[in-house]
Amino acid sequence: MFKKKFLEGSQAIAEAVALCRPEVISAYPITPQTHIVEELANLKANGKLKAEYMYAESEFAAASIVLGASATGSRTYTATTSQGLLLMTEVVFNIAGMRLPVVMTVANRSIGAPLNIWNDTQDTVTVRDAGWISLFAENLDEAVLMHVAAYKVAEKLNLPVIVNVDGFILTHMAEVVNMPTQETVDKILPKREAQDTLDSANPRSLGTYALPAHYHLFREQMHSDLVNSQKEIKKIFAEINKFNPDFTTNLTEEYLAKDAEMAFVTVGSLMGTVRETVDELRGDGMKIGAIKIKSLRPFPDEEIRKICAKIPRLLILDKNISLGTEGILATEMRRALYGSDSRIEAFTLGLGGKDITRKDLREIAENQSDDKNVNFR
Amino acid sequence: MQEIRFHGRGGQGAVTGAYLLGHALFAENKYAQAFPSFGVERTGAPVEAFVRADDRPIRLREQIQNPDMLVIQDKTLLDIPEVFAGTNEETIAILNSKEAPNFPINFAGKLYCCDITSLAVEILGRPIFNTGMLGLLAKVTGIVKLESLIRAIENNFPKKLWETNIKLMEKIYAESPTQPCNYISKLIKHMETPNPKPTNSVEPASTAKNNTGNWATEYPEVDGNKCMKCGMCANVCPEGCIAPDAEGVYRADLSKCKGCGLCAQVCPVKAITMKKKK
Repeated sequence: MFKKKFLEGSQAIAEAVALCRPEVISAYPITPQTHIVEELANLKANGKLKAEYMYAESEFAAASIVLGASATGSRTYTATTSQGLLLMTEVVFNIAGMRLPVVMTVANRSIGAPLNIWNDTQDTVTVRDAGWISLFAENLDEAVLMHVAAYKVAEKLNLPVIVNVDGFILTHMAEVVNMPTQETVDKILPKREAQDTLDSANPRSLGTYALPAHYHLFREQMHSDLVNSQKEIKKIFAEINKFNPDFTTNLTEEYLAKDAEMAFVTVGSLMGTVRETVDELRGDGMKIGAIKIKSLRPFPDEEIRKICAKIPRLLILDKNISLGTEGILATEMRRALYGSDSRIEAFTLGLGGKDITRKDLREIAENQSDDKNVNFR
Repeated sequence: MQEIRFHGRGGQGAVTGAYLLGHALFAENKYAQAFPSFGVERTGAPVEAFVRADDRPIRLREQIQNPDMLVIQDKTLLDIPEVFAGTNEETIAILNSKEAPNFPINFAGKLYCCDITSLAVEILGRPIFNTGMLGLLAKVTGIVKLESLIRAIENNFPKKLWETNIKLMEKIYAESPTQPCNYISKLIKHMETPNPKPTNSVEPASTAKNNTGNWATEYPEVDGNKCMKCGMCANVCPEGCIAPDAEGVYRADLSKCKGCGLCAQVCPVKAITMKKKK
């Protein structure tokens, strides 16, 4: 059912996408997403992938192509990062508004200026409010299965899904990865059964004009569907969990948090270094734990309230910042925990690929500062 | 856990070398991690790559701070003090160089030197050092079996590259030194990154201030009699370091020339030949 391989992240992600049997792929290459779409093009060229592969002239075009293809009932895929995601933004909102189950990988990278090609999560948080489900992978095993889950979730709920993988840190990391077989993926992910699709034999329009009252209702429905999507996402995660127990069911993961007096909270690949740091600090006698958030949208408020109820201090680690305030995860945590006694401290670190080390995290845990709201590291 | 840090220049294959080592370790049932730290994506620019090996899954994602082993593919990198960051007396460094550096280096561990460049140019016909360096690493540290490295080449390189790379690796494995060399050690404190200007503006031709000449393994030699003074070489030079001399013959400033060879390629009368740097 699974085979251990030593693969570069981009290759693992491309192979996982191919196992999901997409029918239309369109993308425009941009560092550090390039290896993913190159590998998909390779698979197509070698006859191992049946999809239509359309090389677009820009990210705006790539997103528009998958929008159209998805509207006709196809399973579609695109991938981008950074400035490419910004160029797509208008289409990103339209894909969600038309309730199209597009799956997109964002190989997280900083936003210029200054020009910088390295990792942080500033790109994906700029489309936080577009109406997409937004998932974050910690390692390659999780990234691979999250793509399979993403298609199932998207097509079940008619909501598009972004799978976030940290640029370079995951996309260019070769490590041991459990690749599911085609048979396993086929068991999890049936063929897309699209409804209300565009069909030239039976012409219809999509995303047409909506007057104020009507528009408001559309958005309200999107909102409640996104809030309620948590149940369905967990159900699908649970289904995949039966195949690989490391792929956990909830939208959060606790690490030594039960008796913790203090806990790091973060998303994505940083969690690996956080776990190592927690182990070291526990060895020094510090009662510290960590919480991983797997989904920025929907944001798992209930789960977080339950886990954090008994943790007096939360150290939120963001690789992005709403300039002038604080990191996005920090603000989300304050909202989810409004009225709770937990003290929330926001840290923005690792912007533009600045390496985040155990030493940095240890300093955050050991030197609590009372007079700063945002700590830049 | 064992941690290996590779230092090379774009085009010498350091990143591929790290991936190859990862494959070889995986074949020996180790959990391995291999990842690059790209700088500017240009031939000759300094590049780092990292490999971790352990008996259990590796969660750590930080770059390697305290390497057990250092692979230095090019002796011109010794000018960069950060190459030795986080090392100590126990660190094993392997260096592509015929002999130990004749100037003090920021290092206190064991240094093994071997002239990979000459053999690589002889056997591969190109200055690519990764497979040679891995042969040396395997010999000196025993971290991986030669056999596993050969399998990694066969599984990851196109077939036409197998024979030469395996030959190079085997030859270096057989002939490389087993004793560390003597060198002068001078430990210095690492520099902090200075605060940038808020606008991040740069003046025109600011790259000309970088002495990229030490990136080069080759340099252009100009035949003044053949040169027809057309200036095409100066037009294509990515460093803008080619200008006419007093006689009007176009010549490169070797303190800036990275040895990319574009000038030699475009010269309509073949007045420029690329020569290996001593």
